[in-house]
Amino acid sequence: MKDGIFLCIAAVTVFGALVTAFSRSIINAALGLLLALVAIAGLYIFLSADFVAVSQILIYVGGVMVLLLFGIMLTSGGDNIFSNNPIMGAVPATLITTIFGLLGIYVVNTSGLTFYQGAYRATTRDIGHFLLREYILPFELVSVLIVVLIVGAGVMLRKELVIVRQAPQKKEGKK
Amino acid sequence: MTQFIYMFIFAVIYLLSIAVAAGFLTVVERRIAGRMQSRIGPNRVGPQGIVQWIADAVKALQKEDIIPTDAHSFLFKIAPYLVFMGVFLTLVPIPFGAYTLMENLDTGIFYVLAMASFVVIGVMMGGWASNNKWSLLGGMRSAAQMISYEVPAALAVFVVVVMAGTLNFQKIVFSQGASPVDWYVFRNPFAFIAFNIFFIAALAEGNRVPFDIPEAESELVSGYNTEYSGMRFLFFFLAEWGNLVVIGALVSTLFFGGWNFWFEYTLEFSVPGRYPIRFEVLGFLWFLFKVSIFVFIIIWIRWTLPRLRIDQLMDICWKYMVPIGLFASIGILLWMYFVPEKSLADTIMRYSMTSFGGLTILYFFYRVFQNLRVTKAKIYANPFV
Amino acid sequence: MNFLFFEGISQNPNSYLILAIIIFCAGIFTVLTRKNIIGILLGIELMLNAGALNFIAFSFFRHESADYSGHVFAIFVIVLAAAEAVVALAILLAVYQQRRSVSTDDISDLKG
Repeated sequence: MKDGIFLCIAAVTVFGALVTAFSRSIINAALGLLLALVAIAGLYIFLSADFVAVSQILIYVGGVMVLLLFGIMLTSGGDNIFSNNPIMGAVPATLITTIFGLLGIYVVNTSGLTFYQGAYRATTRDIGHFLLREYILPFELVSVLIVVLIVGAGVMLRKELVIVRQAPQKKEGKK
Repeated sequence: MTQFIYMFIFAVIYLLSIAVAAGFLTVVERRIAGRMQSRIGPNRVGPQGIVQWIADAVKALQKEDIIPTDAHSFLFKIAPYLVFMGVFLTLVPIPFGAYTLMENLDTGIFYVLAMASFVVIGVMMGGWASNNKWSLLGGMRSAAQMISYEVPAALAVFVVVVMAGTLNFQKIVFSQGASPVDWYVFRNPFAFIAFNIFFIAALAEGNRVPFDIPEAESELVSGYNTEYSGMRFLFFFLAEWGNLVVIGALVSTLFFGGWNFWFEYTLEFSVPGRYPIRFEVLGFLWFLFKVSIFVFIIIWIRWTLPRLRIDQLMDICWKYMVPIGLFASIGILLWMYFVPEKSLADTIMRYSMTSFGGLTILYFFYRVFQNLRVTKAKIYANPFV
Repeated sequence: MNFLFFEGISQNPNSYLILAIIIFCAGIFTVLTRKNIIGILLGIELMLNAGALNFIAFSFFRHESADYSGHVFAIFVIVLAAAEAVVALAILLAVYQQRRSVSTDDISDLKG
């Protein structure tokens, strides 16, 4: 039963990733990513990582995906929504991807790591302890990063900085 | 395997009960709105109109399911379900009693905050896929509003989590008590601030008046659900009124003691067999009573206050509620550090805040009756007309 | 590749690692083939997720006692991905305000 659910979630993950990779419509690609992200949260639960799974949904679905959809909706005006994400240079990309994939499979097959049978534990409290003891410096640095981020995003979208040029006409001949 | 069958059965029961509760709440809301506007409201279908919602559902089912020609049909179809799913999933860890809950998740309140994000996605998709300017504006506004108000809501929840020391709902409920002195609202001033922030932010996240800018009828025809009809439209409504229950349940669980009744809940009750059923039933009813009070307050606010403008809405969130939330979350840390539980200052603060809250409510009723006396208004106290 | 067929696939570390490889490859393919900046961003998110999945899998299968470094790293990955998306979208919107385009072909001022 557990294996069956795992296989379903894995299939959904792969399906979402492939939709993101091969869809010609940017909105479908974003939806595929959404599917993949939610399914990966499901995989985290299989790995006894409930806190990370919930964080994944909170931050990715509630934050990143909404931002990406915002970006798509604000920037795709006038385009044909079914072909605004064309695939260019598929052959070299396939080659490189295959190389990476084979490399990954090779590494997995010959890693020689010893694996234990994983145990299911409650993680929330211990993650808190780890964040505030072993990883206190990165944790604080992340907060600095987020402050920089807020300031940076604010500066970037300031009115004076954006030099509104004459909007160039869309080049027709060029793809 | 049997575990999964049980889970499925419970899920169906929850789904049906949230649907029935949402449907019933629509009638209740319309009746209350009617009384507030000096009219009667729906009272024809069934005794006092209480099965009006079934008639509405049947009517909506019979309608033609229209998908606009230029709409992105897949997104258009899936959006209402996403919205409903987001609201329904938040119910999973909320305890309605010591055992009346679906799953005692370890990440409880964090999970609820996370699941609310499906609503944002669904509303945005619905607005965009309709291929309608008003819908798109409504969806965009809604997304901006929900994301913004998640920040103060999370800050307010942080206060509770610091006080309880856990994210788990049952432990949060256990660490409060039955009487108002033990509730988190009246523990200290910062928790009271957090309660106000959370309640306002929850209203905004649920798209309720005065924050119903995504579906402002007078500006955008009906916001993101303009193009919807029939059953899909109904799903948006189920989600909206189901959200009322969720808001009420969250507020009463986090700040008002949840299902705690005046019984001794000791550790031996954690064994299901040794737990008297009457305790469970009483706790459940007590919880429902609290939830219905909050639902009534939300409906009352809806039919009393005017709608905000979009810039006012963002100002309230980022210029007032987030700084106040930060103040409360830093204050609670200092409070927890300097005032240990059960110390003299803690006890004094609890009792004084509880009596202050009680006196405020008493004063409210005093003013209401005084105004009624002064204006010599003829009131029909009987709600059944 | 016979690991797919024996019992306990959900308890086998290799299944998670292979899955992460698939997601990562999909991400690489997306990044390499798209001209739309948002499309590239989607691919980057996929690759980051594959990395986080690996962290969690190793944290689950590599430690007999409780060690949550993998979880902490996954949380950092998630947070940094969100940060990166925010910056990228801010840049994207600023570019779009000037150029009315989000294609990498139109943003080539620095090309010699």
